[in-house]
Amino acid sequence: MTDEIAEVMKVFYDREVRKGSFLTRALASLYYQLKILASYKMHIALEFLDITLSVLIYYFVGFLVSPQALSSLGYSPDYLAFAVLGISMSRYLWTSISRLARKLHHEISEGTFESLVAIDTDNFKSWLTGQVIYGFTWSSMWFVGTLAVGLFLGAKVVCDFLLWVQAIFILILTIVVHVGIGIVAAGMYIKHKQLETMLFFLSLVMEFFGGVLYPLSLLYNYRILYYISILLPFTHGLEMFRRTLMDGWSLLHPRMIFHMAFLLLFLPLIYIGFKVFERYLNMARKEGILGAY
Amino acid sequence: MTEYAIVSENLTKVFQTGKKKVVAVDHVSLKIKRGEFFGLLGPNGAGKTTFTKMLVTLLIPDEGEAWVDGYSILKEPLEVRKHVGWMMGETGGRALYWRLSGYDNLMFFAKLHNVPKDVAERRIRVLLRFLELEDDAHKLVMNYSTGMRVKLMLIRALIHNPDILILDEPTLGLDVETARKVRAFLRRLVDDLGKTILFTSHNMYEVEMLCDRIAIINHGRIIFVGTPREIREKVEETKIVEIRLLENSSILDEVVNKLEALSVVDHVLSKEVSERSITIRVSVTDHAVAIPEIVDALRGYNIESIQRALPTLEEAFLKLAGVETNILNSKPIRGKLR
Repeated sequence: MTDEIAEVMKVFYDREVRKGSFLTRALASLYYQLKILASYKMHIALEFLDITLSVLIYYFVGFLVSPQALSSLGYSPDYLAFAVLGISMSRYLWTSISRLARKLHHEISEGTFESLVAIDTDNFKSWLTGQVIYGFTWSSMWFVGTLAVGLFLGAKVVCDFLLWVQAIFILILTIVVHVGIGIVAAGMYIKHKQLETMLFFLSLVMEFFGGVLYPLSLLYNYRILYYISILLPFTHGLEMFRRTLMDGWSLLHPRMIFHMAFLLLFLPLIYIGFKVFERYLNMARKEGILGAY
Repeated sequence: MTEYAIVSENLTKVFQTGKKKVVAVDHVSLKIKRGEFFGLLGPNGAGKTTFTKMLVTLLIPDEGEAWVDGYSILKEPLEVRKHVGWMMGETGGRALYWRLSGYDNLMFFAKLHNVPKDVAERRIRVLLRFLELEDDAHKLVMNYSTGMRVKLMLIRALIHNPDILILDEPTLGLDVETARKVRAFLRRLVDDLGKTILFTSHNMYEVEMLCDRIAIINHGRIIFVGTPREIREKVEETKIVEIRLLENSSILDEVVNKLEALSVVDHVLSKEVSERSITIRVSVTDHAVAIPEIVDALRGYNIESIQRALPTLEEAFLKLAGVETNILNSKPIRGKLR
């Protein structure tokens, strides 16, 4: 046994220089999260079934909405494209807001959370970022799947490379803004251990007022609801996303500039999110509830 | 570089449960030298885990301060974490990703710690082989036994080659042979590489064998700090007689009954049976009076020795921690302490 131990000692003699970027660690967090996902094969299969069924529902709902009605509200007369883009974007919204809190719930109940907090590199931020990228990756798979099923059923979106780049830019900007809210929600979870109701309420408000399944102009007659809706960042992100891929509007369109300016107002949310999260994390460290669920 | 690896000054943690305040750690001041194997002992709920969690910066103290490798746990938590490897205890391996393989768990944490890939791979391979996990390295942790998970958590604590290790019951759940291996390995980390180990355990044999010094904590307070021998000497006023008989186990109950019937015997502390002999330890009020009476009572048995003895570490611990020693009657000590 002595020889065996001497052999083991050798791997501790040299003191390695520990270097690694924030991005490397975030990508490690993403990579192993994808590995965990891959171990849930039934879950993946059910998600793809979910995508197909969701789009099918709106395909049939589309028969109830006449093209003229949609045109009169200022959109291209294709309800399926309208709905497909709405539900794809709402998936990104849901992930941005709830992903971190749900993941923390999982980490805490699995007992891995304290080990992550004890990591010596950057106060946990690279791990958080990796999880955000994971959420984006998973939602993008959902988006591609939804779009593919939608196109197969006859939905029409623009096929212009630059407009698609613009759409992706809008998408990323919208996600970044909402991830700030998601990070706050995750911090609140660590402290208050309250999850489902809070997330459900948040996403319900965003989806209802954001106009995922109906044009916002329908709210013109309900002025209070309309004003609430334009105060939400999601409304502007979704509107720009749809206008780009359905109507081919560029960012220089006056209404697009208005929406972009409004969305950018919320950009500091990501910074505030990290600050609030850190505050909640320290409160939990103070109260000794990091490992409690 | 300071002489001490860990210093705590009046470290205090109070938990609030409803209107009730519980002082989990009460003004604990400790100094642990570099290259020291230090044991922290205490009954369940004594404050051991709370104390160690403050040292690894998972808990913020309500009062006091501590320095780990010279870094303040309050002002420099990231620096503290760089120099500490922590293995949490009593989790049954919960603190691992069950849907990743053992190897992936280790690589993931190596990456989060910025350990270069080639160094991490080599370290993981060697440690997995040493702890006989090599063949199961690529199985999902959900299929591991408790002992395998404990081994994995120990490797994880070592993955970034920290100078200071804080280990919460690192041999709990391991089989006898592996526990022996782990103990020898940990001792060598201290002796050969100068690492500092702060270690909690309920296994007194292990504590006495490994630790240079120990502290006993109870109700959040340190009630003793010293070497294992010092602790036993401290409670020397506990008068103990050790009786060794060259008899087989069949007469054990009969002998114990005779000893308990003697007025000079306070308690039977432990009973140990080996192939050829039995050893009984009793606490007495006065050695000089008790030994002749015991000899008299056991006339007719094959007596090898009857002598005064120092308390074992376990007996000393129980006495210092304020636990009644006669509890031992219902829980015989297995194995001999020294």
